[in-house]
Amino acid sequence: MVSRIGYALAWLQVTVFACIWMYYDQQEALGHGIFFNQWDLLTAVTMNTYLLIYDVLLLVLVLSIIRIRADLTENRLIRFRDSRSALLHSTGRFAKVWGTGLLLYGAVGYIFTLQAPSASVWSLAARTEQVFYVSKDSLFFDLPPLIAHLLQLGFLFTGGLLIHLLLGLVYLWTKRTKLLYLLASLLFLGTGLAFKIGLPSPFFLLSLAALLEYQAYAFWTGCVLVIGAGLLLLDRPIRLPQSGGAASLYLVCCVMIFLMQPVGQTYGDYLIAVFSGTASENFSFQPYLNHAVLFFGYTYLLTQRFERDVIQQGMYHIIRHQSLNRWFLRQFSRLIMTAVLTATGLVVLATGFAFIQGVKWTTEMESLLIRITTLLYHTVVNGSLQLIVYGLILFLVLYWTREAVQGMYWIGGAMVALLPLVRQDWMPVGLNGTVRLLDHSAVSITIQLVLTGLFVLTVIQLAFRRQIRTTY
Amino acid sequence: MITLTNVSKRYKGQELFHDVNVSFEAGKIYGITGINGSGKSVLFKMLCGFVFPDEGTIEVDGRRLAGKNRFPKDFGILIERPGYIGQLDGFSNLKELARIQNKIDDATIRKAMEQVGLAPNLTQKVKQYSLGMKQKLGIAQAIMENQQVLLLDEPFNALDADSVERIRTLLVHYKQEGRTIFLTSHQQQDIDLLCDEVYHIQEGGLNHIR
Amino acid sequence: MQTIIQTEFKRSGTRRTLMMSLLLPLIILLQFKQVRTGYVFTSWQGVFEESAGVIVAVAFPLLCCLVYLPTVAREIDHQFIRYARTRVALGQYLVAKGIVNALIVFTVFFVTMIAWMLFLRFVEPNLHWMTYEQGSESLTTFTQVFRTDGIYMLVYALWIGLNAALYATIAYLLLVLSGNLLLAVGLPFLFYHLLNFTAGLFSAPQFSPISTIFPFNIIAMPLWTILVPFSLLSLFLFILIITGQKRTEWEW
Repeated sequence: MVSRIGYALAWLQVTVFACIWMYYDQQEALGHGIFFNQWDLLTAVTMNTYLLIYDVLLLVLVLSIIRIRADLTENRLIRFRDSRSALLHSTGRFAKVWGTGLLLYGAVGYIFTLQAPSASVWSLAARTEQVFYVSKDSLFFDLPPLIAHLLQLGFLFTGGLLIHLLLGLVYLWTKRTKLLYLLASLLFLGTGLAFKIGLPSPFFLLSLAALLEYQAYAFWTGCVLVIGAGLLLLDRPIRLPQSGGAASLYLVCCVMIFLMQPVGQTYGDYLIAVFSGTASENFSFQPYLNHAVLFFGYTYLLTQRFERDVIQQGMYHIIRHQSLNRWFLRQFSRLIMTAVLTATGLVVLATGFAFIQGVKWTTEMESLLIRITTLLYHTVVNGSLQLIVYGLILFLVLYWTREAVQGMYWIGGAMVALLPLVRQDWMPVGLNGTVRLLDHSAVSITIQLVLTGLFVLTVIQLAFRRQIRTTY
Repeated sequence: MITLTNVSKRYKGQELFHDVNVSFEAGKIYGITGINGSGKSVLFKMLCGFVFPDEGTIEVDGRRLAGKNRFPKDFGILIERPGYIGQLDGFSNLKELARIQNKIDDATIRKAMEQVGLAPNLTQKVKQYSLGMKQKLGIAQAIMENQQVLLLDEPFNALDADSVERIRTLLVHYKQEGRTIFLTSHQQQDIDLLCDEVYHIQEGGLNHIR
Repeated sequence: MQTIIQTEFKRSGTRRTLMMSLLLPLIILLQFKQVRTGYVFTSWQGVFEESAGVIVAVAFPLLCCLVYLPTVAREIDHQFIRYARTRVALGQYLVAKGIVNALIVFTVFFVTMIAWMLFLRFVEPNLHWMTYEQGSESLTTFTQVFRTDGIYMLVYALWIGLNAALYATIAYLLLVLSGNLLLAVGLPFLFYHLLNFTAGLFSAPQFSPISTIFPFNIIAMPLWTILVPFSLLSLFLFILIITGQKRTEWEW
């Protein structure tokens, strides 16, 4: 009984403020000789920016917290199959209260607007100048006013549900009431501040007119997706990524590189841009990152593989091969295979995406004066060799240190070695970038990579002569 | 079958072995004892080729462990912590190792797991195993391919009483089959019950106790 | 808790930690040596941006993890924590180590940056190592707001220290939750560069971590942009903290 009185009072104060606002808007409009109707006045009830931000939002937050504190206690949670069911049930109860209140609020507000001239369409004043709370360019004016207001009320209803779900998720996940209050306070204060400085905020969950005006569709969709994801992941333990996830992420990033190239290029220029890499002169950050993703991404995946075969089970692999070289040969053959497949696969994928992007299928190139065969040779053969060199150095590092994290440091060091301040010609990093073809022939790069590979193989052989470190 | 001739070894500034001469025959269980840090693990690492003696030679079945013959054939080892891939289950871990020589099938792997007291169909990832389960997995990989020489460094660590009994029975059975087993343990009972001969590492020597 | 933190601080004063702490100034000095000749500068800020930017910017997450994290990893690996648990509450122990990790990394980065800025501003002019051209340095996100040298130095050094502490704490939590140092070091590094990569691809470099922590490679942006990746990271940190608090079993 007490809570019902409380709800009633809460809605009453919102209605009172809405009506006060309506009165002053009406007086202002009359003072300026603007001809309006009841639908224009109703915007003060349903679409009043300040009312939504400072009163309605507060009401939503308070109602939601009360609902959460009542519905999501341990005693109640135990009666549900899982937390998600409990939250959805609570949201249902919140919807009942919230929906009923909104409906009554809208109805009472409409009754107050009947003092204004009656019409079935928006007034001319609303369409020709900024009147009340809807800008003159608003899509709302393309809809009948009743539909527009109902849509707004529906949107407000949905917004309240989304906010309740968000608070509920946070509470279920943290089980901290103080955090719940803190989040609610931040949402309330943050909305006001964000609106002032023009940033997205929960206000766009409550006002359809504002969403349309500011085109904050991405924000609204993002909120829905985040809340949806939170609901799906509720009750599931957080798992840290495993290699399948890493490989998928790598693939996704590669595809992004292929897709985000300028259109209208020739096929050769497209390949040059994708696999450009870096040079000391005219260093550009994005090609640098692209190269890092394409080639050090592979190296990172290799680190995970080597962690298993060299560090975790290395000793037991070696004793079964009865020879370090036999064991290494197995790793090396796998490295060659994956490196060649990756380099070739990247070029093939890039070609596929070049087709989708609608490149010009010609052997001409504007970026470099080389033949297309040389370019393909460089990207596939030198790309494979570069990956093999990265893999061999990684193997050596992991074998010697027996710490998988050293592989990460090697990748970081190699990325630093690509930077203009550090880069030297003799360093065997980034040699497969197409930008290298400006000053070097593809064959000379092949020779350099092969020699580097042989050098690293020699060092590995020397390392094999020493005792095997088994102590962690 | 395993002979150490004039073997000396210093490790991190400490002389562990000085001019050790000893022969081990096939088909026995040998216990290696010594205080902590005396060199038991180092001895095992020398026997399987991971570590070189500073001086002297080690021969297995008449072949010196050096150069191309650095690692002996048919050795099953459990040295230091058991090595495993945490993200895989027990069976998959053993399968990864079995693939190298391709000598055994899935049924044999499962049998090895059962022999040490692990459920072969357990889908739990090894990183979630208890210490005892990880130890059993380590023993399973050492025995599953019918290895004729077993080097087991403290195999009974973290095992419950039933499991200890199970492994003891298994080792005795292997000895009767003619396998050679080297084990270390801090539990005198394990040494007394299982070992045909006992060697004690002390002051650079490998002394035959029993 | 205070006692545990003090003990951890004392334990952290090893040669290794000291050497790792010197890595950051060493990199900056090496970079400075490279840029002394061949680059044109108009003020000490330009020298600072080139010497404390490039390499440090690219390797930033790794540098944050190098200082103290390996010590924790070693303790987990050698099962030291298992035996410490019988002497101190695990939760307190882990929190204390986290605080020490954050404070050490913050201090290293803050002190290095502010000391270098002070050196370039006040000491170097007396040494005449650099020759400055006439003109004004292009504004960065921070220098457009903080026009006074003193305030800029303090705020920027604090910002770097804060971000370093954030990355180090995320790595620490990942290590404690997973027991895997590769994951702990790798994930923040991957996030850092993947977000740089993605922001660049979508033509929004002002939101990339590298351009918000080291805003020297883009034009001056509104100050609030630096909070975007920082907020994402803070949210991730919050999630990790809650995950850690909810965990009841700890076994590595």
